[in-house]
Amino acid sequence: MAVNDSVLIVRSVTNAIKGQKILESNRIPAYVQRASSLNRQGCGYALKISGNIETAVNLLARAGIQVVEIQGG
Amino acid sequence: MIYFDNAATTFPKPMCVKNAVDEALLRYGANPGRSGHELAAQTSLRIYEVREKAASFFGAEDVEQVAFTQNCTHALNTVIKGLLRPGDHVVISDLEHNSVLRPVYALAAKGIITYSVAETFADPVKTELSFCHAIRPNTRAIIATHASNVFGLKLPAKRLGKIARKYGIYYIMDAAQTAGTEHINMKEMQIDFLCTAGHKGLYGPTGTGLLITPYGKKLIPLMEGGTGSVSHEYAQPDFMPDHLESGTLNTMGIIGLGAGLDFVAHCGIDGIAQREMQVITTIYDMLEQCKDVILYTKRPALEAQAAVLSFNIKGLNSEETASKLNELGFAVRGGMQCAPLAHKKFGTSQTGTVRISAGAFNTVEQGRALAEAVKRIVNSPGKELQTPQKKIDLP
Repeated sequence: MAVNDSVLIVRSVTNAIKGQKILESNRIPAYVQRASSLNRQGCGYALKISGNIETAVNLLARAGIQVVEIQGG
Repeated sequence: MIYFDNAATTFPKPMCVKNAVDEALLRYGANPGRSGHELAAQTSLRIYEVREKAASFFGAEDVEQVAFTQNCTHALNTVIKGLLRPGDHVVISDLEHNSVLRPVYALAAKGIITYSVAETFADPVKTELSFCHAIRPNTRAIIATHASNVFGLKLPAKRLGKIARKYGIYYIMDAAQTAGTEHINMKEMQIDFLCTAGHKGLYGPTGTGLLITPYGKKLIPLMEGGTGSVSHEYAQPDFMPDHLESGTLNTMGIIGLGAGLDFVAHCGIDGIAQREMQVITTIYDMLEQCKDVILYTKRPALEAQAAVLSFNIKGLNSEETASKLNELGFAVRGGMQCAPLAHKKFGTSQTGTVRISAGAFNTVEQGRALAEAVKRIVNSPGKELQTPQKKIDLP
């Protein structure tokens, strides 16, 4: 399930930066950006990724990072 | 002025800390964790890096276990008032600073909790037994300083951690006087809540502190408010560190604290501790020769004591002695040092003590000069003292 340029919304900036480091160490390019205020939870941060969403979500979950919403992809 | 008041806050700060704060003021002025622009992202990353450093420094399992506070008192209040519930009992030591005693006493005075004060001893086994005997069925936590801010005496932290595990209670450590000079590993020492200042042995700016815990979500926050996260929800975020970090962070201070952590790592905890202890033992040995100087502890040694020394001059109260030392160009602290329990234990509640506390930049020569100044005061009580003509510069 390879999908490009998906946005994974996480709960905080700390989650986002931590997630970015984990994904990049697993060769999944990730970019921290502000989440759209139209997402379900309101203000927050997101990881824009180019790679397999399922793999990314699983890697994040293993590190205790909850993806609250997936946009695009 | 030669500064020997490092237990209050370390001074001077390392040049790398000054440079980091300067750089933060120039380059990282945006609000971390709020906006999405590049400046905010860069600032957020700098804050995250300090969180990582702090987690690694204290052996925390996850970067999200690190919450930034204003100081150690703020961290301790966050834990004590956020964790304890009606009917709980806590055990504190007889060396506690008011940052532990006052919030505990305040909860007890309102009838919310009860507390016991465990006696401490030079023998760690006796101290351990003393804590064990104070534990009751409703005891929720041991809250104890790692070292007295007045007399420097260390508590057996590993033993207290083991007791807490054995009885299924929390171990809350006040590491204000030891972070940066003692190896503190939360996992190995079984510390559940580590509270410390950022501006003492970690050499960050004032206005910085740390609360590190895997149990942050269990705390009722002291403050709720903006966190830049889950803003649709009226309730405070239930995840760390946002759960305990409402309002804009002290960005400049935290970035400075990161440089302070680097400084300690570069110098080495053992190197700093040994250097400080060398200064303190030099002073101790010289003061011990003065018959009118009262010392309250055995000759300091790293195994048992932090680089803090209390003394008095017979016939003078501690504030008078501290004032005379100030006239002679030395910054020390007289009085109670916010630790009435410790003074009660040592019988110094009426006089207080003069506290000398060394830092990474103090030298043995400065220690000798301080001891000589004390001798001058001893030999000329009541006489006006001449300030040395030669100005002694800070290192």
